[in-house]
Amino acid sequence: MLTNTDDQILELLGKDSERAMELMFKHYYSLVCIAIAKILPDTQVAEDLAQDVFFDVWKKRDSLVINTSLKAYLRRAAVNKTLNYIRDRKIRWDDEDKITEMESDTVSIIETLEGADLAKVVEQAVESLPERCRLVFSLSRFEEMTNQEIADQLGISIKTVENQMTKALKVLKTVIGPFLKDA
Amino acid sequence: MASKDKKGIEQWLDQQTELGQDAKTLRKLWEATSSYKEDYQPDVTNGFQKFKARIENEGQKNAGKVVRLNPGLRLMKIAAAAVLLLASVYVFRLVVSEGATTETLAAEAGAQKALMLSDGTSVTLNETSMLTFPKDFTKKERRVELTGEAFFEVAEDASKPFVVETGVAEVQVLGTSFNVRAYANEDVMEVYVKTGKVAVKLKGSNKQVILNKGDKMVFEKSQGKVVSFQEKTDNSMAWKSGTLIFKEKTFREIFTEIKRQYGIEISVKDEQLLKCRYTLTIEKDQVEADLNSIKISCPVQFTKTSPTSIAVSGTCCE
Repeated sequence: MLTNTDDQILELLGKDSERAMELMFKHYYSLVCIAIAKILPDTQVAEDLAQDVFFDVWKKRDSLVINTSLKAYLRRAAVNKTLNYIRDRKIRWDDEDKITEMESDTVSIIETLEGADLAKVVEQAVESLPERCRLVFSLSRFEEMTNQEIADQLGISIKTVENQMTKALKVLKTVIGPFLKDA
Repeated sequence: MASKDKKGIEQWLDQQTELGQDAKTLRKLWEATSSYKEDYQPDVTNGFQKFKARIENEGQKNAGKVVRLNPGLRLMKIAAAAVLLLASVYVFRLVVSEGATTETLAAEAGAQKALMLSDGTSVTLNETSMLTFPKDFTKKERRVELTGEAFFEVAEDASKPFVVETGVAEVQVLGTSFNVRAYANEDVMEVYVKTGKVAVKLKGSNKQVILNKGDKMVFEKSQGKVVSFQEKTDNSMAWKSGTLIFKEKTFREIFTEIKRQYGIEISVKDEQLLKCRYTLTIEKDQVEADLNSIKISCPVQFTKTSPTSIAVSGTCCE
């Protein structure tokens, strides 16, 4: 019979839950970490939150109902966990004007990376954005959330989201632009 | 997959072009940022060890000693408890300890425990070890007290140094993850740095030793001195990873380390064996079987005589 890993894991969860968790963890831990790290680039934090995601599944192992794929479920759980973490940490949204000075800083940092590959430049550029600016960009680009969804999730106005997004794009275009083909 | 991506980018472009962005450049930015964090490879093995320790702890919940200290969550839990009038031991502990400033976590013989401190630092405590830590790090330093052995992955906070105090020394963290072995009944105290950098300050002296990634320091209490500090490949983390690796070591060294790390005593019939050298890997849960793999090349026999002892006959060199 044809079975995939997800089915195997979910079936095992009722019988040998420790083995099921091991399979699930080893199969999806990287994916969950990466999903979180795209929103919060601190990999240490990403790994701690990923641990929590799997621990939540473990706690719910007897009553877990998954309507989507296991992968989609874990990814969703990872994003929710991260957004909760962000909310709990109460990121300050008051450095509205710092971005203009930061912009030129970023450009000079990146210039020293001449010859570096595009992936490296992108990483540096994204991570050099101020926290909330980066957050809005990441949720938009990687989680494919709409501006309204981002505003709802972060408890800020849609106008703030748009402003942050505009700023993020401006910086990224300036920094990454020269590395793009025929840009 | 491809169609979903397309929907993703189209939706994104719509959103941003509404804000007056140029679609062509946006498209390129979308492509360029696809690689972001995709090459990040978390340590799955290490992560799973940690996870396993955590679910095992949960299994022994009645011990009531593992407390996750996330300030926000704790408040929520206390609030929930007040509303629901839940009287579980766990919540009770949290409420009554509100006035106290420190918590203690102990791991009994044969058990390992993992916990996360309020600053996000994660600690894995080896067996027969104890860690005392403040519920919240309100002081200038994040100071914890260790008896026994633990592995720390310290959450970065440059403004608040993380200090591990042991009987004989203080280990100050300048980086991220490290192992401290400071059992009261052992003559040596060890610090092994997995990533980052730490400073070890011996008590009652001004001496400070800086350890970098991969470095190990051994302090001999009876001699009152640092006996060695430099070891790039090392079995310091074996209690956590469950694997001991030996390269061209004498059986005397191999058996000593097995005793130390896994608590298994190996009694030797032919003393000659102790001088022979061998390269092998030993997993914690199959010490006897791994030792017997030596039989391929030498006439030896390892026999388990109790859960914590193995007898060996025969030798492996002239």
